[in-house]
Amino acid sequence: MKIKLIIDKKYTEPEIHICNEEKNNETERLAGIVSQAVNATITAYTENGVELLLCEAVIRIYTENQKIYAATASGTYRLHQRLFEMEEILDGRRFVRISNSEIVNLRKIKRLDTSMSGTILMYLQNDITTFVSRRYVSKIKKVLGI
Amino acid sequence: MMNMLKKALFRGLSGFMYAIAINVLLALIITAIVNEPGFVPLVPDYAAHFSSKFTALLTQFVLIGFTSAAFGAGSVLLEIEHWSLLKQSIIYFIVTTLVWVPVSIFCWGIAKYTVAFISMICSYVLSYAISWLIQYNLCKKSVAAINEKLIQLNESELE
Repeated sequence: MKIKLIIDKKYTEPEIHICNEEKNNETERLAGIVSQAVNATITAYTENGVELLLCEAVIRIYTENQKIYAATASGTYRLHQRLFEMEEILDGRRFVRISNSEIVNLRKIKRLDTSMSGTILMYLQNDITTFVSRRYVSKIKKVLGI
Repeated sequence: MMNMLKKALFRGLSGFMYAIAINVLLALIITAIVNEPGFVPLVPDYAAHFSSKFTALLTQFVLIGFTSAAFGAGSVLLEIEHWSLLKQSIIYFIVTTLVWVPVSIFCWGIAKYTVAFISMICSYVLSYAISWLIQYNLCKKSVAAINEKLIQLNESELE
């Protein structure tokens, strides 16, 4: 993929164009990535239509019944991207994968706890409790600089 | 689920093939070291179950392959995320023990002497329990370190 930087006085503010011979999944995906990278928002879907969620407001993004949801303090929203795509889009310093089915916002974690049976529980804001896969513990430590 | 089954199948097959390759190599090395005509590295009681030493050796290789396959395929149990470490470990322990103990009894007659058999099983259980405790403590330490860092992170956000 070619990336061009065009400097011209006719542009009064920065613009990003994605050019292709046709609109397809790839162009949509690119548009989504660029849009979210620039605006720090996630496109979410509700019964009433589309909403833009501020990434910093998202508590967690998770898979349930093969659908992806984003939970914020104000509610839960359906997302159209897949979890690995969300992982690519989101800021890796703020969000971390904690299991095969979940990504959480580091700033929304209250604490972690280990049960007697060895399950790692994660307590998040809004009284959300989830579990952490041991396979991702080293990744969490790395993101936190431990 | 399908992904896990594929993973189990791949690990089982890999374990089977590696175990056979290693055991063929070991049998060749032992035979070369002993260097006696007609020697085959087999326990006599086990070899007596077969009409020829070759069949006995071949069967032993296959059984060792199955044992290794059970350990390999069973390792996917340790990756089931919604199971606790305890549940994963206990089920993995049961699955693998159900394979290696009968194979060992048959091939090497480990149940011939009851005291030796019991002490071997006990030492296996003990080493398994110790390794579980080590894993559990490492996990607790990691969680404590993460919690400490989260507190620092929250404090720096407040400032």
